[in-house]
Amino acid sequence: MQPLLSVRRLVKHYPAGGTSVFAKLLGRPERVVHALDDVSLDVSQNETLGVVGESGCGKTTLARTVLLLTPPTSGTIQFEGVDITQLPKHDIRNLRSKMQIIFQDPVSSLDPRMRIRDIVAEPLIAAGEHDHDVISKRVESMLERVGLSSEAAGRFPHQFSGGQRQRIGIARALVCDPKFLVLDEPTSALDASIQAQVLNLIRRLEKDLNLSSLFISHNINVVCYMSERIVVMYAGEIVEMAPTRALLSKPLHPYTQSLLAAVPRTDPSQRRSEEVVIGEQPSPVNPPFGCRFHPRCPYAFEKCRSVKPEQMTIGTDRWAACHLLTG
Amino acid sequence: MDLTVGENEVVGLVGESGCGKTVLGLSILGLNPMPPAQLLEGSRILFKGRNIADLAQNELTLIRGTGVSMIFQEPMTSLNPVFTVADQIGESIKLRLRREGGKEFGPSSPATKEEVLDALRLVRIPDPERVANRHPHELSGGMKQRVMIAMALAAKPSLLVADEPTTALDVTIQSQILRLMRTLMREVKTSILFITHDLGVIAEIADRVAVMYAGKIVEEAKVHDLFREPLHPYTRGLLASLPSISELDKEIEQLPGSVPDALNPPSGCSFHPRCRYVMSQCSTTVPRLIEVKPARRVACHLYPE
Repeated sequence: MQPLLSVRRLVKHYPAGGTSVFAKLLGRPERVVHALDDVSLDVSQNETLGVVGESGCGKTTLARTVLLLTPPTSGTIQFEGVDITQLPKHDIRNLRSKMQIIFQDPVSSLDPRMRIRDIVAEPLIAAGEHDHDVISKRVESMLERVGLSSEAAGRFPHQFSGGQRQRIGIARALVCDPKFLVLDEPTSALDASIQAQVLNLIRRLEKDLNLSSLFISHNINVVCYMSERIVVMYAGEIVEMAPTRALLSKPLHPYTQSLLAAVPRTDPSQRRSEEVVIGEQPSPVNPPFGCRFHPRCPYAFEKCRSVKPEQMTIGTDRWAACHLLTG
Repeated sequence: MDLTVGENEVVGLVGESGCGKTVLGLSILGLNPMPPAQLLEGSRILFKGRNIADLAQNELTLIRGTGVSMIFQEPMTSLNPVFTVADQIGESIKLRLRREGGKEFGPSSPATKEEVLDALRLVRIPDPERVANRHPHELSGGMKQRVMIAMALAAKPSLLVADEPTTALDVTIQSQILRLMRTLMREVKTSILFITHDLGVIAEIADRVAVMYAGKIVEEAKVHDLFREPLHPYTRGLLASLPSISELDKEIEQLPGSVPDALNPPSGCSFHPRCRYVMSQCSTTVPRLIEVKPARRVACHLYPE
């Protein structure tokens, strides 16, 4: 079956600033931030694809680019078989009701001067719904679905706690019945006990509403809990893609291995003494040649410094980009 | 609140935002602005057997930074942006030297370059000569936190209060810093009060753990005991609410409700509105923190005195 969302060779570069007029006159190339380089992924119907990586690896750029909230530099994004990067503006607008996003910060993503009912209704109105009865019914049932009482509709965002605000964000994203949802660190700002409430709510809604989604987080525990398949990002690239269980039991890319080894376990008897990964993520303005992980990789050899590793498919359902797999 | 930190011990203090963990850390160093903050009559903070809670500010200054040092969560805002790393570490060494002479004010010889470099080498900063001349904005988050630790340790404290020192860092950098702190405390013989919201971090670093809820310690235990057999319903709920890659099939359980308002805490046990084992006395009587097993204390009516 054709995947719902299919991203191919997506690239997003931002101008880095700091290129002097002098350098421009001399025709030197402009410095760019390599936020996303050559990213390809598929999300099937009713699937949650997890995206994990550390800050600055391009997760949020991926979220925004996939929804065309920021235009890609190159590459294609097929949604239901149509390349949406080629669509005219008003068609993209229509698309918005099918593709929605939930943001990380539940405080700054809600307008403090709007009542909850108006916040949740806004996507419906933007999608062309004008019937007041339909709107208010829809808003009410959505609020109930996310576990908020109907009195909540008349209140303002500041009257709610962080967890409740994230529920409002979820209600707003789901009110126009989207098919595809991007969740960008939806629980990172929440306390542990509230995070569990929101994660379980999202899982239940995804199932009930047949949603497909891209679940983005730096927290690998959370991503694995939420997703059937996972892509691991490093310095703007996807280094590995695998079903969750396979990824955890046998990570192939050295970066995935060190990421998993660095996760603190809630079991003091599992304290590890082996060496942790050295160094830090490279600058996106000036990423290393060859494999971007090679300066930190314990297995790096000559080829890693000069040749960029290609995707190497292993078995039927996973791949990694590492020279160790090809030799 | 009632908490002890032994010599060469890492005590983890864990709780959700607003539970009072940072306030406790700041109180130990007398850093809460007073007023409006005030320690209630009879509050005692014993440091090496001496009550530092009612010391005058100038006496406290002698302890701050030499006896007790603090590392904060945000390395960016805790370092001075206009001074180089060498200046800031040098200041910490200079103050220590001066205080070792028993003076609060007065001249002292500036720290030598070698002493500064030693402090940077201690925290495993690669290429210390280069880093010493940098300003904070030129360093990454992990590097800045290393510099903060170097500054704190340059004062040779016997107690280090670390308030969420790895929360702003990426997970691979976090594991580097945790590893470093564990090695360093053995090398320089200091105790650590490690404040965090992250039970995973606690499991990695602490010897003993105190769990805080709404301004009180609800459970205290050795780290292995706590994770093997959490006693307080809040600790249990917190552990059950964490998704974990080591137990993929675990359905995470959620604690209902949210943290109570500190202005208007619930009567009796402050956890009772969210507790699944709630009994009639929970809403009327505040449970005391009592020893239920050797080296284990719990404040809960499920464990009668």
